[in-house]
Amino acid sequence: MHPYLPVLLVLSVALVIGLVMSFLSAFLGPKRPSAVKQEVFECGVAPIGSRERMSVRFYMTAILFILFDIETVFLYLWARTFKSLGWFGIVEIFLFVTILVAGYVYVLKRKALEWD
Amino acid sequence: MVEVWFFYFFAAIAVVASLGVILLRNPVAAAMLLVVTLCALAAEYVLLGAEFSAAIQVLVYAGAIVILFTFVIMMLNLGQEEVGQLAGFSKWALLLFMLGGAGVILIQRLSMGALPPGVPGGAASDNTYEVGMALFTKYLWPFELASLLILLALIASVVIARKPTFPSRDA
Amino acid sequence: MMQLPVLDETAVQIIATIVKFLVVLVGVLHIPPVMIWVERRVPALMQRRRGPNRVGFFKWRLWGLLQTLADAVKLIFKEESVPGSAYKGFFHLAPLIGLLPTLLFVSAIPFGPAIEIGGWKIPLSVIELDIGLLFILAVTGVGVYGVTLAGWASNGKFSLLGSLRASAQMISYEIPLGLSLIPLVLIYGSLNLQQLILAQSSVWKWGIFLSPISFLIFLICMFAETNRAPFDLSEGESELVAGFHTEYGSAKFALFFLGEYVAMFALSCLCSVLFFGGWQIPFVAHEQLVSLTGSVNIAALCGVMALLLKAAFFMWLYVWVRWTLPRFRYDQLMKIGWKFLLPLGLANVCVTALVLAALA
Repeated sequence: MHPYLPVLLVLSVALVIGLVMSFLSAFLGPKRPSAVKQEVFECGVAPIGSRERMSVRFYMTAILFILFDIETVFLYLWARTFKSLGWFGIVEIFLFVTILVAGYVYVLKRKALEWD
Repeated sequence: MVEVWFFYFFAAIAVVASLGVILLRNPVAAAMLLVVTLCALAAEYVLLGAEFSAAIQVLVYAGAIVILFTFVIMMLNLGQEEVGQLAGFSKWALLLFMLGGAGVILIQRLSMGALPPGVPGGAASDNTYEVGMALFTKYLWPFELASLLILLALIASVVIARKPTFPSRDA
Repeated sequence: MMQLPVLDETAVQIIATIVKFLVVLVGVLHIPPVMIWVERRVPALMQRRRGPNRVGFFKWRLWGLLQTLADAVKLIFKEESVPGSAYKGFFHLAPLIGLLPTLLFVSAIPFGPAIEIGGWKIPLSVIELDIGLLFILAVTGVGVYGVTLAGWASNGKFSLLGSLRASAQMISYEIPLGLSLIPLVLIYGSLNLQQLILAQSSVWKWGIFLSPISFLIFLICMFAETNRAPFDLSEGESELVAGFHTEYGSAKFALFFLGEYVAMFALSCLCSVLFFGGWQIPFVAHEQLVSLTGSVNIAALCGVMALLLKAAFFMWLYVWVRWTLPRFRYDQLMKIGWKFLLPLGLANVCVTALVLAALA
């Protein structure tokens, strides 16, 4: 058996059971919709919607996440081959990490990680 | 050959989902279909025995880059009418372009003859180890250059996103 | 007499996979009821009150254990209300998209050593991969979409804010989570969870003793990844009503609930696997256990029990911490993630590598 076949099996079984579970209430529960019931909750007053734009910090977080995620991936590769590469690998990865730490320090100095 | 059928299955998912990515008007739906496309491609990598690439595909592309897309979509919070303005070009031109691309690939494929055999063995050997050894010995310099690329991206993103220093905030 | 059809290896393993997954699923479905009971009775004990104790069966009240069953039934039979302004398709799919990755995660946990049934060797993990750790990281990465989509599809102020906060928090803590596991890969030299367990063959080789800093980072990330107190800002009820699931009710809310508890359980199991020897019983080698009980299967079952006990401790820790620590502010949360855990994780990796290379 291919080692990834279980992933597919789990996904398909979970999908079927999950769909059944998430539509359980639609079958079992009562249905008495009304205009007020279908408003989004904004503490009881008439909703004014959510059309304002979000802080740019979230974008910053996401892009920093991508970059450090890539770094983590490289570190995993190195960790897996660490026993074979030894000091050679350490020198390599330290160079890599040092360059990234320089970037990290720049980000800190620019206060891109401040949430005020 | 069961694997061939799995290949066609995931290929079909990838093609249909990527068509959805470019044709749907709703940006979040497009982003979600991009996730589906990327996961289907990861499945293809697994079929080729490249399980490390598959994991990275899901981890970095589906799990990080599309998150950025959704954040930007949610951050801008574009309404339906604004999106319509952005997607103002003809669908027919797009279709023509895609058919042309498919034609080019088909001609190339027919002129090439039989496909080269894929990587044998499936996931029997430890793929991560092999990728790591290749990266840290044979492709040492590209790897170190990658760190510079990430550094550049870090600096660029900060420069784009930071508050303008002129005029100062309290001015 | 009827001849049984001869099964080949593939067919047996496929059937075994489905059966194992169904067992895991049924087990996992029992976590929220029990945990909700714990989450009501434990704080009641801590705060010297009684907690829910009324719902019962005639005169047997069973310490209020049936209350959660009543809650589950109530949730399923409630009317499902969809906001008129919601994006309907994603509104219905979001709980499912959130649940699927956590189910994949929990399927990747090796619950015990392989058992033998009718001469077939069956591993006690639904999914066993060479890149198990990376698989789990990838799956948790995709798990963010459930939260993001739920908030966006609800199209309400509080849902959107809550989901943005929650997803930004989850991705921020994924980095230290990933970094905290690298020292373990350095030490044990594998990404396969079963091999990581086998490498921790005696108590003194457990992850917590060989890499305590990793454990510390992982523990903090465990709480942040599941949006649990003290990192439950995404549902800070005093400012965001309920966060990303404000508009959800009935069975879909129950599904979010299930997803949260499955994620907690999966992370608890992973913590036991990586830092506490997984299914191995302290001071008793597995071979000893096999010869003692005279059966591979009984020994394996003891292993499963050991892992579940270890995981139960962390589940209890979740509750304990929730009723002990106050909630962080959002800037504090981001500061801990990016300015404390990230550098600490990197330093931990570097120091571990240097020490290992010096010892070798």
